[in-house]
Amino acid sequence: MATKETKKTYEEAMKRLEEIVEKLDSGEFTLDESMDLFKEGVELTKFCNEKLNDYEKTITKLVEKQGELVEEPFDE
Amino acid sequence: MATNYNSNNNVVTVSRLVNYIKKYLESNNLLQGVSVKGEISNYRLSQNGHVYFTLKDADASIDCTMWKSTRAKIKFEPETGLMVVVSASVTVYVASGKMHLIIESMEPDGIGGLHLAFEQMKAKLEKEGLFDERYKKPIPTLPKAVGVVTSPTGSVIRDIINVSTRRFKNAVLKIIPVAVQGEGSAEQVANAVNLFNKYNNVDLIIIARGGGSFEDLFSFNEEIVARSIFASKIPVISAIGHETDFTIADFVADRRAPTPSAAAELAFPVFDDLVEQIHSFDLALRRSLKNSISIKRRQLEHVQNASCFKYPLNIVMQESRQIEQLMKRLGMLGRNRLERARATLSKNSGQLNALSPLTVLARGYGVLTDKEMGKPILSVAQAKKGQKIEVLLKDGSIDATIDEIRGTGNGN
Repeated sequence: MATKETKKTYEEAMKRLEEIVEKLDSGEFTLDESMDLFKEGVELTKFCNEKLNDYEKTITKLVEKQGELVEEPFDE
Repeated sequence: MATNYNSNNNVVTVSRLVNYIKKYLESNNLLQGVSVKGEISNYRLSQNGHVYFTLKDADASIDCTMWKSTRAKIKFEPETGLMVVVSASVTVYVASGKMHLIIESMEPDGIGGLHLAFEQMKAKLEKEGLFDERYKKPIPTLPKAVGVVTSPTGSVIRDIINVSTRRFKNAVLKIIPVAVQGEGSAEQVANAVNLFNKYNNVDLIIIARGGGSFEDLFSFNEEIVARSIFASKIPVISAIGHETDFTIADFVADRRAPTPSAAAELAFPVFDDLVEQIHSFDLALRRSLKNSISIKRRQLEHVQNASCFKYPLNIVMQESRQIEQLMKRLGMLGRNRLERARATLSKNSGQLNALSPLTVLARGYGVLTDKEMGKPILSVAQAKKGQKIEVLLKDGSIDATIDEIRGTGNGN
């Protein structure tokens, strides 16, 4: 479940970023609103960058033994 | 005679006869394991799983039985109307004395059994909607972990690992090794898909197999594999065989990749592209904010440039000019009025002058007034003899007494 949430959030973050840039570009917002949008956008880019670097390369082999999932390094 | 027959040694029971025929036919090698070609008719599946049908051609027909165990080995669905070649043995049902063929194997006529099985399975699952676009799940942009169902040996898994890690340096791959062909292979593939779903530890699954013959790839045409892919809550990319090979698994999968390498490309974004994308968003944000501020600034400048802010005294000046003008007008009106009054006055005073008795007096006339009554005497009728009168002249007055009165006293 946690995996799914994180994935969703990254995609949502990118989508929201796109929205924010578009909104900011329109110039239809008050200065305060624009500043808030900008701050939110910067937070989102930071978040996405963190997400990207959050992974650690692992290649494993899964076997279910007696109803338990055993994860071992995969030897090529 | 009947009795004669009864005592005749040549008389046999029905059972003996039928059993004899049965043994006779079953011991004839020509009738055992014989290949027969014909059309299936009256095909019916019994409750215990055995199958009964009639095999026929234009001129003849024969009843057939296919045991459940034989039926299970046939990949395609036999059905009425299908031309088949069977390998069968002739037998007789003792109870009815009827001749039957016991089917040992069956192949569709003309087309291979596996091909027919493929077509049939494809048609069946398509009808059920397993290939419908609306069930296709989107492939995640950034999978946290990708599950791989394939053989643990060979180039396929190596290609997937290489392409994945080359594109995305932090790739997380979880591999469930399976047999990709042969007995039990389909079950292993289906189980692997189910296992990922059970533990929900990946957010994308790749099912892959290298190239091979139609028969080699057949596990991926099995219903159990199709069902497991369709039931998967996790998106599935299939990459079975070469680009030209299509399996049922490919139709059910959320995305078909032409090769295992292509599957890895679909699964993992290029790390540097994502970094670049985030960076460009960051730039766009700054640029947009700058734009936004400069728009606001222009708006502010526009307002500041409005004359009321630029020349705030304008209003006062304008008002005072108006007052001045009003005063000017007021003054002009006043003067006009005065002049008109003056002209009227001078005209009136001229007239008055002309009428003044003093002017008349100046010319030497006098005015008589009754001394007692103070009234002017305008006619002899008002005069009486001995009446005291006052005569008003231009420079004074004289008191006098009337001595004589002449005239009519009628005025004019």
